[in-house]
Amino acid sequence: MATRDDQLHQILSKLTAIAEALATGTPPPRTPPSLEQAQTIVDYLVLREVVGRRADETSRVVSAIRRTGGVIAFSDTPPIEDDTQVAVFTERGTPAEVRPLDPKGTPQQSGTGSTGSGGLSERTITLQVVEDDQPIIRIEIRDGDNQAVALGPRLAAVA
Amino acid sequence: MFRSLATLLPTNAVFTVHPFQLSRWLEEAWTTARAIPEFGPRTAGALPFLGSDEIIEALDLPEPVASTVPPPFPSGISATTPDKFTGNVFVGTVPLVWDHLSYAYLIECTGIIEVMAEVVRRFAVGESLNTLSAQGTQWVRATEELFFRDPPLFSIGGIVSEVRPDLRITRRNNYWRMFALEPPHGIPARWRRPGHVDQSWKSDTGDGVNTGFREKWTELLRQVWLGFENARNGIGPNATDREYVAFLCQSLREMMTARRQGGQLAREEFVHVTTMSWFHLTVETDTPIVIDLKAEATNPADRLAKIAQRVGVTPAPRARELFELSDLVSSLLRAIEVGLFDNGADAETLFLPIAGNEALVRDMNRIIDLWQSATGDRVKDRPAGTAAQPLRLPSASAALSVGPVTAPAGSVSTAAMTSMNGHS
Repeated sequence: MATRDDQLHQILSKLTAIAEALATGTPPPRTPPSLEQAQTIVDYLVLREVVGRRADETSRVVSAIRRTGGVIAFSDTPPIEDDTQVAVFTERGTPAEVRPLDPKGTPQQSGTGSTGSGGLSERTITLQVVEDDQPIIRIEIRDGDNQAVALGPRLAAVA
Repeated sequence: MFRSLATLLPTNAVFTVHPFQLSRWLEEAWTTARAIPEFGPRTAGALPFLGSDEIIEALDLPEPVASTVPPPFPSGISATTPDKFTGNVFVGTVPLVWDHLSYAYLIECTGIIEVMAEVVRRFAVGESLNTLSAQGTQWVRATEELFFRDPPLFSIGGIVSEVRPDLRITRRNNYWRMFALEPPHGIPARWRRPGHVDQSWKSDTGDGVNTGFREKWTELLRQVWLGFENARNGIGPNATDREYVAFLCQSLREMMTARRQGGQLAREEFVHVTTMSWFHLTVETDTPIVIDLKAEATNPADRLAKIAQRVGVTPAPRARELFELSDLVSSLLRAIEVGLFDNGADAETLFLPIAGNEALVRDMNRIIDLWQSATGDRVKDRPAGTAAQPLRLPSASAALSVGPVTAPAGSVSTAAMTSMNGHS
């Protein structure tokens, strides 16, 4: 339960925000989303995009290709950044694993089975938990604050 | 889907692709839904996308056994030279899925399909319209072959047969089952088949009609509007109830997914939205057929009105709102259907200013404005003296048992929606 000081602090911050909005003519800042709300927002934006509506600024759908050896490759374009984390889901609920991107220039095996679609200049992750024979139902691209910013395609198992 | 294809080809090139290739591409478009990721992963018990993880594979063409075996009947569409045949499957850059059935319903409510049917008929039987350009001829040929004749054998679009011979009736049946709504205009006398029975699309639907859809949908919009009104309210009484908004979303989800169990209606939805997207695409810009018909304008509704005038048909007076609503409602209902807003915190993203949800809030605001204007439902006002939320929650049941359905004279679905359209 909030203390009296907390309540006074909340009231003061609201009044300050109102005063600033009146003084500058700008609306108060938007509330930061929770991790779950960020997922919901990204899911909605991806849904809009995959039914054919143009993305507002940056696309929330990333292409990906899956190779044997636990490798998933992405095009090296935004929203993929150096501090990107990738959450990989094999069933609903919590991700099976969350991996950072492999360092640039990590050598990859080639000529083996693959699914999905990828680009020429790429960044990869190497899965440690998810096996090649497990279908991946959701790939979540997260930014440095661990907030979901985009989704990849569903990827079939690779043999 | 044709609007998505159009974005991957040069301007207006989709109308120059051979209808055989477009027909084959529909088969390929069906399979792209396999790559759609899982949405709403926190929604326990929600049905998977389209009601079944297996419906795409259940109805698609067989895959080649090896990479050396060619796929069966590829579309061969070329992104750079659409009048050529590549011999390969057309590959887009991202996964695509078709719009929600609501898209087809709202576009059909504009009256566009009856207007275009009359255009194609006039070109086929006489010379009462302008002489066509080569591109206009291609549009007429493709439209007639893709949408006004029986579909090719064994295709994903093959939902015409002895058991359901009339696509107009099939569409109305599907709208009725999913939304308990029907287009405001009747089936024109010219297109009624021998033995036509009015309202026959409501027969034999059993328990599978979402009769409470419109009530809950309108209430959802009303509650979200209440959320907008109080979004910046930090000091006064705040009637917004995020859990009630979530409950309404959950009720709508349960209702719609009840119709999708086992992948039901997925194929029909695909056929209907691809059909409507072709006609929507036709009037979305000044396409060759629009120019041939001297119907250039600045928005789809005005183009449709001009074309309709040429062939003596009256489109919906609120067509402009309906065209814009169709995209917005499709995305939102898809999101509701996968359970994105099933809890209070997630439902807040529909109306509170949260970093990143600008597009979602903008979409909701626009849907409310357009729905109120198109249907006459007063979403932004509550009757004087009523509370912000009702005493009792609306029924959360997935579907009401209605038995053999007869036309509910004067019901919301017929009375209010009829006001959207000038057809009798």
